[in-house]
Amino acid sequence: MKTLCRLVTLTTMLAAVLAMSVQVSAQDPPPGQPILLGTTGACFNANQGGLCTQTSTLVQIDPSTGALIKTIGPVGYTVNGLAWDPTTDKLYATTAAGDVSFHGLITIDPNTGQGTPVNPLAVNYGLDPTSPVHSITIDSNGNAVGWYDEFGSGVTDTFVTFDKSTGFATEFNNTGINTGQNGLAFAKHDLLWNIDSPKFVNGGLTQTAYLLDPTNGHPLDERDVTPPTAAALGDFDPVGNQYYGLNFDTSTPGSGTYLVAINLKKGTVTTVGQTVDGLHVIAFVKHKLI
Amino acid sequence: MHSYVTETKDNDHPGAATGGAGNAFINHGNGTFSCIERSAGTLIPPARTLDEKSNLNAIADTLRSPASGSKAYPTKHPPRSLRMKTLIWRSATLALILSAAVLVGVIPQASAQTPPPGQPVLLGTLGACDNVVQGGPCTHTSTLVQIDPDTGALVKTIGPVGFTVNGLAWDMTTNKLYATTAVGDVSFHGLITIDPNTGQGTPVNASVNNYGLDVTPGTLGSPVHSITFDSNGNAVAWYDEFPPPTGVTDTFVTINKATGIATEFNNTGLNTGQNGLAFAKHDLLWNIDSPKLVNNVVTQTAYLLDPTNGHPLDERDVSPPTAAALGDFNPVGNQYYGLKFTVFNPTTFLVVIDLKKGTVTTLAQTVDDLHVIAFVKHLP
Repeated sequence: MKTLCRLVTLTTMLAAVLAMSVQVSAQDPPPGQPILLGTTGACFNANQGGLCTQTSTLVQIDPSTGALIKTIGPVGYTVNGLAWDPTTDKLYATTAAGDVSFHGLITIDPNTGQGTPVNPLAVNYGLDPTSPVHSITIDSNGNAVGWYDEFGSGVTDTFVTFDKSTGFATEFNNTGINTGQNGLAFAKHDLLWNIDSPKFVNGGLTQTAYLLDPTNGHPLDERDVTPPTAAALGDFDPVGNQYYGLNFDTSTPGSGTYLVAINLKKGTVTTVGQTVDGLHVIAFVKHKLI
Repeated sequence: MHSYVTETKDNDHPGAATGGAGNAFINHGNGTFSCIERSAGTLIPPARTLDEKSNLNAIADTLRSPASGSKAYPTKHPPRSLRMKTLIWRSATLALILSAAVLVGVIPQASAQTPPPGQPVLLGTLGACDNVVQGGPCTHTSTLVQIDPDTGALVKTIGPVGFTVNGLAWDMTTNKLYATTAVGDVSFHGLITIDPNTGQGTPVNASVNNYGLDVTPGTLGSPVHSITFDSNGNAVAWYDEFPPPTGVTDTFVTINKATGIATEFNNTGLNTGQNGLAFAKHDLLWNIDSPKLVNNVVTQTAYLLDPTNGHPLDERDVSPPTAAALGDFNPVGNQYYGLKFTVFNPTTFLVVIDLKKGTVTTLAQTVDDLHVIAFVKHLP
């Protein structure tokens, strides 16, 4: 009788452990599976160039559906670029130019979401205050780069490299391309791509992915993708090497955000599905030896 | 003419039917290919060029006629008015002759045969290895030609190379034309230079056979093909590998253009065939593979390679799948131009691949048995 009771207890305990395991597998995919993090909450400043009205929250997203897996926690800053450093296993972010607390390079605790400036003295990355750096991305050797848009006749966008230890950036002006609502990300083999938004060229809507020289941001090659669909502030899936970006309309709050996958091999763009409202940037957790 | 089918993957391997990469292949989709040998073709002078010349000669004849009229005026002590007329006539005659010369000689010839600086000049060689016995000696040597990249038409036949070419590339740092020769070349298997004015080939180093590589017993050597140069004058090439051992993949080579000696980088991870290796703008190195059956779908892939070891860094599908072998990137438009061979037929087509758009366009039929092509490139 005692043996039977013990068996029942053991079975119950095993069932409980199994049930917990299922929860773990849903939230923390096994090693080797891609983990997609993101932050909700864009700047949403009332006036162009003004102060942000929101701070961000770190979340985990299911890359196969776009669904929210979990809300991790508030960052305390307004994030406009997110990247995993595979050499230190740290999550870095750039903050918006209108961030009311700190405009510069921060790290984010992936367990709590809490952001911390790399160097509180390196405001605006040590650059001119009008440098709205975004889209940080980090290669397999830990080199961090970013991008920002320039406006005006004849001037083209600026590429930046970051010193992760000091938070300072170095600018490379006039890259030769004018992008907008774009995404800068390192793919497999540290190929650096800038995925531009759809544009009208010669009466046709096209979308171009630019392969960049990672030392100065100048375009080396380009590739059209179709159907043209915005895929901003994204990252490459370290398993499938597809780019995932976000299609949103900041001018229309509540219009929804969509997760978009771009296959640069095939030149195809696929809308994976509607994702979390207000999702603004995404980055995959990458491991050095994936 | 001799045609046969043999189970092989490519044309330049000692186990293959020929030593040149110009044969046609049937891809069975299971990693095997049937190699169909090409026969020698005949050069057809492009009618367009002849028509143009006829028309221009007629124009020139018309323009020349006033010159004879000038004989009606005396040349000694003419009246002032007459001297004036003579001067006017002579000026007019001179102007007409100059115009005719320009029309007949300079403009058409330059545009057809020697495009002005900045315009792309496309060279090529006719004549593949066409060996009778698999892995045997070649039965043809090559002839250097110039091709119109807009139409695929023959611009001019330059002259015999004296070797069987299976790779052609312009070195913009030295303004020299280099070539690789087929493994079955009866004179020399290795790196040669070709005089672009006469077509005459010359081994870079006659003592360096098979690029200085070890010759696998039972083979003639390493079937290196598709030489290409980057903007710094670095030469690389490619050759196909076949099992055994199982799982072996193609070999990339770097070539010392001063010594003719190659260094191999085995197992690139790619299995290509009837392909083209070429540097594009910004020294991006591409390997344009032939169409293949993958999961019951015919696809064609362009691989971006690491130029230090030939390993693939990225890939891009192009469509519609069309063979585009042994080609080169146009330095002006940065589009890849390759050759499509038709099975059982020496007929060859010039194919253009736009890697930005992922499109393949068959431009036109080109010269029969055109085997390799390369653009003349200048330093940026």
